[in-house]
Amino acid sequence: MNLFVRYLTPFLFTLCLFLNVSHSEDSIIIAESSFTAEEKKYLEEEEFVSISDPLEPINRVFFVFNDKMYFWILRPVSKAYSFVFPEPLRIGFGNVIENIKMPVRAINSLLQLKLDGFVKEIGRFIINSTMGIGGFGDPAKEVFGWAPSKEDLGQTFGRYGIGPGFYIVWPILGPSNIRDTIGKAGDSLLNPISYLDGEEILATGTFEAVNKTSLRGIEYETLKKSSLDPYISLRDSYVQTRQAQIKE
Amino acid sequence: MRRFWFLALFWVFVITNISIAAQPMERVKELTDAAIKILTDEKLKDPSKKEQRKQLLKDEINKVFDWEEFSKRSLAQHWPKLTPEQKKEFIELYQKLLESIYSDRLDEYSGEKIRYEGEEISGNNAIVKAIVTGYKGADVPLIYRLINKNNKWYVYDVVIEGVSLVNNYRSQFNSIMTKSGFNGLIKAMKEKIEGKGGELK
Repeated sequence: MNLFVRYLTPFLFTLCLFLNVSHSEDSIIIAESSFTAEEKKYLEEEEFVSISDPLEPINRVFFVFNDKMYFWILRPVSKAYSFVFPEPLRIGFGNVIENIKMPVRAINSLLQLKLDGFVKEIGRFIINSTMGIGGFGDPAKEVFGWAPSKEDLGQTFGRYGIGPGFYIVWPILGPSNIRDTIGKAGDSLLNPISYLDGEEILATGTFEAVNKTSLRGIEYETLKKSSLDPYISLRDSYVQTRQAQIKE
Repeated sequence: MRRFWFLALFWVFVITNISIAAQPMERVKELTDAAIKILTDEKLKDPSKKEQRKQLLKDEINKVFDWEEFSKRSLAQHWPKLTPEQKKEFIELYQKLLESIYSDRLDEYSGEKIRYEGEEISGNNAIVKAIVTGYKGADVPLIYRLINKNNKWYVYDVVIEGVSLVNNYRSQFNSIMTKSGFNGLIKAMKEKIEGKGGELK
């Protein structure tokens, strides 16, 4: 992971500079003239968010690759896994991993000057690691009503006005953009898991993916079932989700 | 006599109150309550009743969702260019598609609780905020967007975890319309409804 940070980050930064990242979060232009006054009012409060996707042909290839990985490997493995471990256990395992990643959320809350989120994250970690037995349970939320803050470096960059750059589909890792890729690399420095050795990181990552799929994989399947062009649908979902998270 | 006027006034008060349109949040609640009633009905739990249950869900959705609004907003700049016949055809297909998707999503229901956070009304538009708590150990924020038509509120968009259904379809429709025109879009929608294009492999 450190190798990844050391070499990929400068490379992506340079790429960003070349591609003038901050200008590419453009909106879809509406052909205003073709609207009647009555129809115009339907669009007033709508937001048209789009992202540039110059790598679309390559991204589509990786999208198909990831899709196959999902349906051929991840899904069957997670089905077998859910058969052995009942849902409450799987939710608990997911909580343990999220609890370990506390520094990512805490520091990014701090960087965004969300002191409330920072304090709650620290409090959550203390309560859930002890009362919640190593983060398995979430008494911090259930008893004290402290929800996780879900902040990351990509959002912190976005908060300070850095645009997403263009859309990227990474093999295995899935949808991202330039900004969030750099954010992920930075976050890995704050993630205690990335200080394990290579094999352990791989094992944890695999387990996390299987566990997550067993709980929320159905959402990807619903997206695929309900879309006319799953590639566009996933891209748009990613863009909308990240925008909503940054606005929060 | 005073008693009569008192009573008359009382009834006028009651009747005017009844005729005032249900507020946006109540409309959304009506839908979710009706859906949860169907989904938790023991008589409909049998796998052989799946189609019947889905139909009942669709009927409830149809009472509250405004398909024309969905269509206008999802086609955006392409909408005014369509002929009335094309608009009608599109609305019908889009309704079929969304009905089945939304009833599928409701069908995933497994006892989650819905907490209503509030409503905001601005003229003829409104949003209702809710949170589905305890979905796989997480909380899922929901936003319903509504429009007032003839003193009744109708849903025209659902935003799940920050992702607006209308915006998501708009980007897909826009991409297909640009590449293969209205006929291409209709073809793709028909295939989707019949369960051909893009299904699970």
